[in-house]
Formats: sequence, C-alpha cells, structure tokens
Amino acid sequence: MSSWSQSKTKPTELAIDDSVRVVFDDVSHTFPDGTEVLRHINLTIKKGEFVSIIGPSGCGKSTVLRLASGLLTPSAGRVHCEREGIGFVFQEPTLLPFRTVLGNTELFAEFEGLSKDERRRLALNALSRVGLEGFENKYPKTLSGGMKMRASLARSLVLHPTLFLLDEPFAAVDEITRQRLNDDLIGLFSRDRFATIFITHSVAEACFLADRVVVMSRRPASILGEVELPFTYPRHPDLRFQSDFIARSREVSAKLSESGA
Amino acid sequence: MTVANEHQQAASEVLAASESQDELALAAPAIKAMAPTPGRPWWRRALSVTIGPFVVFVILLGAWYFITFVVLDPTRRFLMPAPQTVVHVAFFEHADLILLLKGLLVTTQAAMVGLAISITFGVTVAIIMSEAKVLERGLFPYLVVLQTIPILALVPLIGFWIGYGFTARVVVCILISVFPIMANTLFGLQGYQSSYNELFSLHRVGRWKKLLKLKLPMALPAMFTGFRIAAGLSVIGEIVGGFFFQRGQLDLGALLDEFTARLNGPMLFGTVILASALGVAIFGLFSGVSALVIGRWKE
Repeated sequence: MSSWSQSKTKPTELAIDDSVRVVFDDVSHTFPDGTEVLRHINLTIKKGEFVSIIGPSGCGKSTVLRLASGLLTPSAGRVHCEREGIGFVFQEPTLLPFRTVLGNTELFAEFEGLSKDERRRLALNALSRVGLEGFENKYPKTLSGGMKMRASLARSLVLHPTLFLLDEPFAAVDEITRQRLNDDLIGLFSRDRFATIFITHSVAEACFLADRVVVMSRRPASILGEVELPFTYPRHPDLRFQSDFIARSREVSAKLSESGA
Repeated sequence: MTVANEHQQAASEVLAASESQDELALAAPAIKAMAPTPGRPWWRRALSVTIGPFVVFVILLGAWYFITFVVLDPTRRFLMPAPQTVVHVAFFEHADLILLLKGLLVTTQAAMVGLAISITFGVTVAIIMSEAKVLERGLFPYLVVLQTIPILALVPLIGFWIGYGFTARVVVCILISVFPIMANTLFGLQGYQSSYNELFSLHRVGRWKKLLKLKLPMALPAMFTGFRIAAGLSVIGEIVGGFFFQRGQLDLGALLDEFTARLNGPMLFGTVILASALGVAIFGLFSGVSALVIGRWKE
C-alpha cells in the first residue's frame, strides 16, 4: 500500500520513479469563466493501484480525471502522467449509436491504425472480458443501461490500458446492476492490475473497489484525507460485511461529512 | 481453460442473459407502440394501422359530396365538382391527363434538381459553419433573415433578374428548401453530448477524421429530418415559381393558374391532387431512404 502522504510532500521531494503512474504536483485549476475548481492537489497513483475519489457533487472530481488524461491542462502546478495507455470511461456510455458493439469496441484500435484482423481480435477479447459475447452485432439502442456500460468498459480496455480513469461510470444504473458491475470491475482489475482512478458518490462503492479512498472537499476542492483499504484482490462481495471494512467505510463517511456533503 | 475461468465465464453468460431479459422488459413499451402485441396475425396489425386513416378518408369524401350536392346551388357547382367528376375529367380524359402528366413531369424535374442542389449546398455550408465558428456567427443571422422573407415577395424579383424559365423555378425551390437542410444538419453536427468530443480528443483524432467518424454519422438523423421537410418544400417552391413565371413548358403551377382563369374546377382539383401526391411521394422516398440508412441504429 502507498505510504505516501500528500500534506507533507513538497514538490522537490517528489520521487517519480518506475513505480508511479500519475502524480499531481501542487495542482490548482480555474475554469476560463473564473470558477476555481481545484486548490493545491497533491496526489500520487502508483502502478497497479486502485484509488477512489469521493466528494460532494460538483466539487471538481471529474476535473481531476480530465487533468490526468491531458484533456485539460492545469492552470497551476504540474501533472505527471504518460498519455499513452489511458482508458477513459465516461459517466454516460458514450457509445457511437451508428456502430455495433463490436464496431464501438474496435474504435480505439482503429485510431491507432491497427490492422482489421488485429482490431477484431482485440475487440473480441475485450468483449469476452466484460461478458458481452454474443452481442457483437447488436446496436447500442437495443442494449440495457448495464450492457451499454459493459460495452463502454470493453471499448476502454481494448488496448490494455495501464491507467484506467472512470468518471462515476455506474451512477445511472440500478443498484443490482451496479453491484454486478462492481464485482466485474474487481475481476478485471485483479487480473490486469491497471492503475485506476475511480470517481464516485457512493462510499460503499468507493471502499469496496479501492486500495485507497481520497476524500475531497467542496469547491474549490482540496484533499481532506485518505483512507487505506488493505484488503486483497479479488475481493469477495461478503467483504462488505466484515467489521474492519465497515470501520474503514465509517472513517470515509466521517471525513466526507467534514466536507459538508 | 481452468475451472475458475469456466466458472467466471458461465457466470458472465448468465449475467448477460439476465440483462438481456431486463432489456426486453425495458424495450417492451416501445415495441408495443410500434408493432403491437406479438402473436396477432399480420393482417390484423395492418388493419389496426390503416383503419383510422380510412375512416377519416370516408368522412372527408362524405363532406365533399355534401358540399357539392347539398350546400352548393347547381349553378355554382363548378366551384367544387363532385369527386367522380374530378377523377373522370382529370384522369380519364386522354388529352387532359396528358396535359397534367406533362406538367407533373416538368414540376418533378425542376423540384428534384432544386432539391439536389439544396442538399449539396445546404450540407456543405452547414459543415463549413460547424468547423469555423466565425463563419457560423457571421452567416447564420442572414440565413434566418433569408428564411423570414416571404417567398412570394422574392419570386417576382427572381424572374426579373434571371428570367422566367426552368432556372428561375429551380432557384425558387432552392431558396425555399435550403434553410431546413442547413439548420438541421448544423444542429446534428453539434447536438450531441460533449463527452463524445472528449472521447476523440483523448486519442488525438484529427479534425477531418473526426468529421467523418463522429460528426457526420451523428448528424444523419437530423439531416434526414431536414431532407424530408425540404423535399415537400421543394415541390411547393417549384409550383409557386411556375404559377408566377408562366414561361417555357407548363408545370403544375402554370396549369393551376390557367385552370383558375378558365374556372375549370375538375382540372384545378386534379392538379391539386397530383401536386400533393408528388409531395407525398418525395416525402415517402426520403423516409424510405432514411429507414434504410439509419433505421437499424437510430435511437
């Protein structure tokens, strides 16, 4: 587990070695309209580490992902992050309605200019990892919300990312589907061990999935605290009922209530 | 394959299957709305779709007969000749039918040429505007103004400038039909969630590739809506043009004017019927093409 603590680290002491995937080095961000979203964010995500970020609505959690992926450049501070090998899952499935599930899954391989056979092989592999075999030739409009999300996951996984960014991906699906998708994400993570930043509103989800939960304050958001969840992967759904897990979830809830959420 | 793997795969298959059932349950109301209860024979479904329009048709026909034979005095019956008179005179008298069909052909030609130019021009301008915001801001207000000028005010001017023949009628078609194509295409090129743009930005996809792989396909449903509206309008534009210009070969518009002047009720009605049939046919053609191109995936 990460022993790194954000408040004590000064930029000059940052050790960006091979074990690190993303570093936010005293990052602040202000939107062009003058809204200050992030204030002095220091955060390191190691390779193969799963970090959940939780905080009040509209606090700027999504901005963290956009900065990490290079979609946004911070107005102050630095983000160290290799732009290759990033998988991004948006809040909505964002599937291209005019492409089949397979066509959607092939999209990024197509952007990379891979051959048709290679694209197909990668896409079919990604679809089998999320349990969508047999749905290759369906169009998105015929899929349920949960299946659309699976297709979206498959699309982001197709090039085997080393950093997986998920922006409240399961917020729009029902509770049962959400738990299934959580279990599946745990399965995928346990196998491939991509570094992950997972944005969510749900304490239960944040804790069940992550090595470490980062709690953010209201806008302009800073980091209120972090809670480690040193449980091994793959995690069994029953973990949710273990006393140690519950105690740590409470800690996250307590920190979150400090934020005024 | 290991036992654990097998187990996982079986589980995911069960998952997928149960989700597809959810999906069926979700889709059920939509299916009901489109093609009703499964199990009913096709002719009953066809009947349930056609019975309404048929009843309305009978009522309208009844109203027509009522006006012709009850409301109108026999001396004024030429104002609204009975349906069978219209059909007989306009469609069963050889010379009259030929006259009308020639008019229909002329109108169809000019309207199709006008529509084709409108589509090419409208889509091109919309793409340019969506790619260059400066142009959109500069041009769009004037396109709206163009749309608000009554076409009847422009028609004499067009005749004045470029004559009264085929070209002038095509120009009227374009003026009246280009705006819905442009506006709908522009809306389609921009009217999707911004996360799609981010999806393409993440992979640093170039502008041209993004236009082809994202924006244009996304815009297709709105574009076809525009084409359908424009198709009907182009027929109207051609007829308005012909009605005013009265030169060259007689189109349906010129015939309308002529039959009005001669108080030829049956032929006037026949012309109106043909003109609206042409509008419906072109509208139907575009609906068909639209269903072929985007029907499978349109949400």
